[in-house]
Amino acid sequence: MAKPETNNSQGSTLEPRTDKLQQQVEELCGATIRASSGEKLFRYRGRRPEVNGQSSGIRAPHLQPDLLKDDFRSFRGAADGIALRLEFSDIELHKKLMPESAVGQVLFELLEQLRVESLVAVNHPGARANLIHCFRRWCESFASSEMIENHVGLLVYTIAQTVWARLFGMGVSEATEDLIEPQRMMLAPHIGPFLVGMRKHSHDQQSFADDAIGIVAVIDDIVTMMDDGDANENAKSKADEAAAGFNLILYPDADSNGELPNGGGSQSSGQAYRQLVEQLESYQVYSKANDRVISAEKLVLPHQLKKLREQQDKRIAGQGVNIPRLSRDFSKILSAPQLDGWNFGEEEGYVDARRLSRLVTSPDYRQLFKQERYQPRTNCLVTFLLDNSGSMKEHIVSIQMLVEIMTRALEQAGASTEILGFTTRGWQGGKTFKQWRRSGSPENPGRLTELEHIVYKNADTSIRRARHHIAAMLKPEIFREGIDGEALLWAADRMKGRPEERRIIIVLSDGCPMETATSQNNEADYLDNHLRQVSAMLEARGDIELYALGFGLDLSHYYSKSLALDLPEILENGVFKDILQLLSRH
Amino acid sequence: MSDINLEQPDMMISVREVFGIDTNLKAPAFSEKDSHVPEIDSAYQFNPEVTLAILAGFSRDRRVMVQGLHGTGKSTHIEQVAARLNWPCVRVNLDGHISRLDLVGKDTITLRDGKQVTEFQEGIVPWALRRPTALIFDEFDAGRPDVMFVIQRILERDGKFTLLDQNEVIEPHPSFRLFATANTIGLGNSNGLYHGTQMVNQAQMDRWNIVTTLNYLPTDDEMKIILARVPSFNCAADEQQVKSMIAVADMTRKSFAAGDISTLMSPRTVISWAENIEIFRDVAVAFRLSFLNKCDEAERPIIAEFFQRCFDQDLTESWAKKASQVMADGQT
Repeated sequence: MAKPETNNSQGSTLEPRTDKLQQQVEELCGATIRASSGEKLFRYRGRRPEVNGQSSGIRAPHLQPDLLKDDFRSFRGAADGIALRLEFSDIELHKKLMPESAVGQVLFELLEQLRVESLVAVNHPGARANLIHCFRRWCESFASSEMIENHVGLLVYTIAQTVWARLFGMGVSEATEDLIEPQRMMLAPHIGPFLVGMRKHSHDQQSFADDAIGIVAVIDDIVTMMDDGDANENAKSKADEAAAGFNLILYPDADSNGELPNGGGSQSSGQAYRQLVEQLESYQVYSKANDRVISAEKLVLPHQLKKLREQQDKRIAGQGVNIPRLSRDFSKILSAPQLDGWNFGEEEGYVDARRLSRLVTSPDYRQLFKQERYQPRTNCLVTFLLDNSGSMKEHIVSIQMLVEIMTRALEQAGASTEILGFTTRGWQGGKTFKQWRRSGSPENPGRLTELEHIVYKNADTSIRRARHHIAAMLKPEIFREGIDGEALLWAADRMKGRPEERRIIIVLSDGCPMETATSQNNEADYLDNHLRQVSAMLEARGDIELYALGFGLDLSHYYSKSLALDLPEILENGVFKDILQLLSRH
Repeated sequence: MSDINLEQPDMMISVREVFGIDTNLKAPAFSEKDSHVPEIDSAYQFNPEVTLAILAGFSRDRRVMVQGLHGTGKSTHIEQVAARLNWPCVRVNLDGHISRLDLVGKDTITLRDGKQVTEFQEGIVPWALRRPTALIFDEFDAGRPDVMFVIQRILERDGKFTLLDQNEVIEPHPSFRLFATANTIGLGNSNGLYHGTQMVNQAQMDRWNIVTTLNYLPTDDEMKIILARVPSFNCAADEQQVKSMIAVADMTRKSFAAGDISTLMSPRTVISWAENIEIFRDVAVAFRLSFLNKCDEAERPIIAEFFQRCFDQDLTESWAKKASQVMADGQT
């Protein structure tokens, strides 16, 4: 909902809001795609469509609308397009037939997408309208961009329009009709024979692809001809520039070792898990000698803790959060029935000996039985894992309140809680980095810093006793850099010996893992990949539920269940409602 | 309860003619109709596989259990088969409070010659056992497993039934049949849809000779049912509308399977939606009244998306209404 106070400062507030919006839109679109294609494992990861943790290979340019420029209907159309693609197109066949030239790839991808879009079922008139809207919208924005000035761009656009009009049985866009007319006339004799078959073959991917490849060959010839005609380097770059301008949805390089295991339809989750564990073994730590786990009260002087606590108490008192209600909501989500005590005065069940005398005195009295009673009980451990990297400083006051309020509510609901934090002991590698330098900077050192894992509250301490320790996180000096992956493993490890049946980790973070020394001396995305592998491993293992709250950042890259939050100054119930919804989606 | 006149099935009917299934089987049937025989619903669509399983139960004296999601017409399926065979039928709805006494019988106090005497009154199981009836246990998995052991012996084909209270052994009537329907397959509430279902003892599960599954029908069959049930839908436009309605239902089912929503539309919901369209003359209003209001508030925007896909119309619950305020829609 648009808040009136943010309207006047649109520019500055747009950043965090789009993340949340994007997430809401993706949630709706993702659900629709899963529902209409029947592909249960589909999801968006960092705006890219993925199936079972593997890139879906769907790259058509008009399937990635922009939140700032396009309307909701375009998103709907894009979602419907993806759903149809998942349903009707065999991605392996598509990849096999994919031509080599850059322009050819754009064109082939586009044509295949248009083919499946034309297969939309008659009983989905809304989806059809969305698809048409989305395509037209893309055409409009294309026609108004400078891409249209480019010869190659115009060629591809012409083909897209012509094929689309033919497949959908509708006219080409009126605005650009005149513009593409010469191109059409020029192309007609060359591509005519292929166009004729297209509509007839729209149900058959292979024969349609044959036609499409025919068209691609014609265009490739024209492009090379133009190159020769110009006889200089410019034209070549023009073709590439045009292909790049089409904004194919790009996936990270599939060969990089950071890629998650290729799930594939046939692979069981058990196999995927084993593969992940193997990948995790490739992560190295240069030295663990300087790492430490420390309890929070040792980081801050007692009188300082007391002062921080007093400040925070005042702030929390000013929040309008209804903790008892929050606690009831938590227990609704987290509790499971458990045998507990008896109900007396029942009409059937076990005979209650104490009431037998009543039966003698009044034979009509029937309520002399007792029954076992089931009561909801929360047998659950929730761990909050806080990113204590430098950038979290600005959010920490609100985050501390959020965590404290949730911890109180959870404790009232009967759950155990842990609050943990992670950072590093020094900047830029600290002692470990110096050791590495002294020993001659060997190649690929792995993680190169000294970790600091902070225990603010362990599961056996009540929030009442730990309240002073929690205040320690308000001291900004302890915030340095962060290694998320190892911290997550540490938090999961702490849960191992616990008696609670259900285990939940909630990660609170505002960014990706960052540690200068490690990043500079290892291959790119070393820490990023490790975090992704750890979270995918925990998700595949399934004994721990993993959720993430991102502050001003979409964490869906790393975690499959995440929520982007903008924390307001005053915490309202709405924030907690969002979190509760996230937790209940398991 | 009134008694049944005919003792045995006295004719054979052709399955092909009566149920429209391509087979040469013949099934035993009664020529006379009793008050316990259910009414024939001529619009009913038989699922061939399930029908054959139920017919096997009738003709070969097999114990048949029909399992399936709610609203797929499991109990009705058995009843409609029985109706066409003129086989008397008694439906018992099980719940967690049905006790042994309810099923077997109990001593009750009655007045005889002005005096109070206790008298044994038979429960439904011995009553049905003595007669040519089909006893249907609805929601079999809602019955408490310890109580359900009462029927353990009669689940075997020629198992006798011992009435302990009366020191009597009942031999089942040769035309006695036993059926059950259940939402789960005896493994309890695994998907969160069916609260109150119990784990069925596997020794008992094992005694059911035939377990058949009735899940959602193919679109064409579902459409025939709805068109038959709601006679005022008769023009081509209505047919298109029904197709879109079933498309919405289908999306909710797939979405449920993917875990996005926690409620799904059963064929029964689609029928009541169709009937509500007759009353309210508005697809969207009828949809809201027959399904959307049963859903969790947080899931309504997702379901509104499904509705938009199939009807090209936005519900008030739709996120699109909000989108116009926060997204680029509003700016253009």
